[in-house]
Amino acid sequence: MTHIEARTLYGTLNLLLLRTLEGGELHGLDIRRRIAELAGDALKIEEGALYPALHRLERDGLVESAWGVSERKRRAKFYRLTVKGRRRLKREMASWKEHVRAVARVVLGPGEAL
Amino acid sequence: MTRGPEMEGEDREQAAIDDEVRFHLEGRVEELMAAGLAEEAARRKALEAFGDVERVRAELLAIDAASERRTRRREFLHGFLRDVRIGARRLRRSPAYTVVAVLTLMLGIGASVAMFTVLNAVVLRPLPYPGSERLVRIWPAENFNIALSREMATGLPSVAAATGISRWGLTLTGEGQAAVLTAGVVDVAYFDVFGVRPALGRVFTEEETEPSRSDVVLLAYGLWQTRFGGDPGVIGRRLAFSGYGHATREVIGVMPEGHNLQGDPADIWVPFSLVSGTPFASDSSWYVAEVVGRLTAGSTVERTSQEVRSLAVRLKSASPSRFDDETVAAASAISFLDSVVGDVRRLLWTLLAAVGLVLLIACGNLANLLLARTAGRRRELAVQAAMGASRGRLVRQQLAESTIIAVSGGALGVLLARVLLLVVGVAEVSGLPRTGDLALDGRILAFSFVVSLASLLLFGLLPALRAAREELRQDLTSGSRGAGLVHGAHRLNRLLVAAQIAMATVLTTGAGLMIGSFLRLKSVDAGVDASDVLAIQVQPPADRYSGQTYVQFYEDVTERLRQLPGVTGVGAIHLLPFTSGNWSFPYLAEGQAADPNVQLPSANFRMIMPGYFDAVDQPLISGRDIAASDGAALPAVMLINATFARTLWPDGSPVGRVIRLFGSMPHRVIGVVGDVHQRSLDRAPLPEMYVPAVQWSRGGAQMELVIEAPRADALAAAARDVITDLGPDVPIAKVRSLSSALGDSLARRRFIMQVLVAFGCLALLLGGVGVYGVMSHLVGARLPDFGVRMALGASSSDVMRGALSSGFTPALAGVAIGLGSAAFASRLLRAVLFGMEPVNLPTYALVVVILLAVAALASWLPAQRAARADPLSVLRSD
Repeated sequence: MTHIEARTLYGTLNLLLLRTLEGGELHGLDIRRRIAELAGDALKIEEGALYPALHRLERDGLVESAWGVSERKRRAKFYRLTVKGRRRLKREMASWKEHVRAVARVVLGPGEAL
Repeated sequence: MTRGPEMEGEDREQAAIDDEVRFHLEGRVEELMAAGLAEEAARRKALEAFGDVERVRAELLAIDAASERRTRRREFLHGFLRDVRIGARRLRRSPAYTVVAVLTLMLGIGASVAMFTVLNAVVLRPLPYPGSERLVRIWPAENFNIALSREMATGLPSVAAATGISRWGLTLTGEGQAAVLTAGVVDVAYFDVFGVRPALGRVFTEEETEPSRSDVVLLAYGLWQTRFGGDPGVIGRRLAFSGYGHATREVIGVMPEGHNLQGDPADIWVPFSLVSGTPFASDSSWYVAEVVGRLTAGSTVERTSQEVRSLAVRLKSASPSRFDDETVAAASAISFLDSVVGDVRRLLWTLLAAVGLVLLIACGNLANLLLARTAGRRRELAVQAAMGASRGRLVRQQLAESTIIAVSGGALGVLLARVLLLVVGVAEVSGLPRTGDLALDGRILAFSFVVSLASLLLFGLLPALRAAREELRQDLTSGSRGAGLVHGAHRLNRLLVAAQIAMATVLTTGAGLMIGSFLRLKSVDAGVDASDVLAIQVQPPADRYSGQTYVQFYEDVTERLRQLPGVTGVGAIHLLPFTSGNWSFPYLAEGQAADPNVQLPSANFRMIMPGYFDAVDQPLISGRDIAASDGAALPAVMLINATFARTLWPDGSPVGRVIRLFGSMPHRVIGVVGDVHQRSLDRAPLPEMYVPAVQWSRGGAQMELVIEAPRADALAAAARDVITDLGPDVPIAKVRSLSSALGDSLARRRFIMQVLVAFGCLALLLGGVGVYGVMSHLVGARLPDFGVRMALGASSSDVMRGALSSGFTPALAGVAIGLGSAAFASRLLRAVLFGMEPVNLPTYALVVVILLAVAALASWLPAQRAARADPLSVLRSD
């Protein structure tokens, strides 16, 4: 698999973050772990890029944050989806699926499936 | 790292970012160590996976700073909206205050916006031609001849194209009812100068300026629509447009909708007609009213002005007899807009400044009201301040309330302005140019917004800042109504009252001066008795009524009109007094030597029919009137007015002397008549001569019939019948009374006077209300004081005197300041004052009396309350 720079995946990264937060509030470390667990080595994201992305999402009102205490009793910043973020996620998911299906049809040809 | 409330903005954000990043890195190191790495290796790996820590920190900081600003803005807006809601609720609880405040502001802003709308239409709005800022009017003297205007048009390097413009009455017959149409007579360059192309057809060609070929016409869009139903087939038709050298003309085009001349609009356009190559010295067509040119790119009016001057000097040296030094000295160019707007620019700005004073007075009242209101809420504010509400928040709360008033007052004001303009009908009553279209535009809306905002700051900010004064906290402990701090507010109250009265004084003085001028003007003897005189302008088509038939028609009509019941006099003149047209001819009087190097002097020229002087009661001073016996057969005779007689022969009698028109046509003076103010009452009568129409062979004039009868207006219908009966093909252009013509000539002055009087009354009303309000407040606040004094034995008149003086003293100071300012400000009115100087003592004295009376009345009512103060009840009240 080609090594992909996180930055070129900016839009995708946002989608990943929103999707990860769909289940409930998480701090940055959890988010990283969740993405790493699910994607394995297939998606290698520079960890430092997570935070600017999260802060931008917060700036745009898609996520909100609050300081809390982590499972290891450390002071941690937790992120969770706002109502606006949840709506946005739904919309982005739909359009992403549409996009993937279209690409799949072209790349795989008729009869083949993902 | 510590985080405390003392940390501000960026520091706090920086700390939070550091915490978040550290949490991540430490957490990763722990994870990696748990997975079996040594601490050192785990640390290295965590950092490697994270990337450039410094870059991430910087990026986060930038993002957070932006979002922080956004949040703060949002919070402020939310807070403000909340304050507005609270303010609205509070205003609902005190409807009297709200209504008075909004109405006051509505009056001030409404008057301002209405005034600005007029100023905008007349002065600010560009002329409706493409690139109109490059149009100039050349040599703003009247009466060019065609050849001269063409010399000017071609002899100026900085002018790309120039055209003469004149107006001529042409009669359209054979297309239903005969009609007199206004023809714009123009040069071929007209279309380039004004950047206009016909909507249909073509423009004039160079060949069509030759008298033999100039029988062409372009129709105005409006005429094409109303008279020809918008039929394109009209192009190429030959219509009976009689006058200006042709009996019929071929329609070659239709002008586009919306294009027309400034001032009186044209119905048709025809070309100036002159044999090409005619030198201006031998061109006898002295009727090009103005020359308008378009500057080349990069030229300035100043440069054109210099070019015009040097051209005039050149022309004079080539033909000295056609120019006098005065004409050469007057040679210049001004922007076309300036020439259209004329001398009213400064006047309108003065009126806008005047209405600005009205608005300031209104704002003063609001500020006073608000101060009083704030004083009433001091405890509430003090509680809020004590509970930690910041000064900013208190100011914001106050401003939110004021904003509601400013916004509603502003919106209602704009509405009031529209209604005012609709009701007044500025175009009809003001005599101002360009007032036909007073539609709302962006500039007016922007002005309304700025004025509302400025008012808000003026009346709202000061009391709001006061409300937030920290000393308020002390009020909580003092608990007394009459706490010492109130004195500061009262000083402010008094200052405001003095300022308001000063401004009202200035406005009242302006209004007084205008009223005085107008009364003086009205009492000027016009020279004729305009009452009970009906004037009817008829225009016999020149092709059918020329020479003697023309005069015969008028003789027949006057004869028949004389027989109408009640008629006491009938006559005719070709230029009615108090209207704008003028004919002025060069003359050589008996005893004067003709100098070929000096231009002949000129005097006004009027053609009349026998009976005119009787009909308008213009007195015959010496000699005799013209009579039927002064027929077409010579000797030619004339009457002159008293001014002319005095100018020419200060010592001897003019009767029997000879005046040669144009230096060659001898007319014997048979009588002297009284002076008439030809243009308007504020201009001194000029030398004038009256020649019997029957002896004037040059033609070209259309006469106006005058009929004198008690209740002459009622004769209009009968007179029309007579004219139509005798000349079915003669259009009747205008029917009105001579007194209305006189009234129209005073329109602009009357309008200015009425506007200033309205502003003055508004100022007095608002100023009076202001004094009353402040006095009520002061007396209310000092009631305990008065009570104590009365308890100590002061009489109620002592108390009343004390109360009166506290309101009257600032009013007195205001009047004094106002008079001083008025002496200065009323100079702005000098141009429209008549028969009085800007500093006119009787007017000023009257103003003082009025202002003091208003102030006294406004102070007296509340002072009475003080005098009735019951010592016991006030002492108990706290």
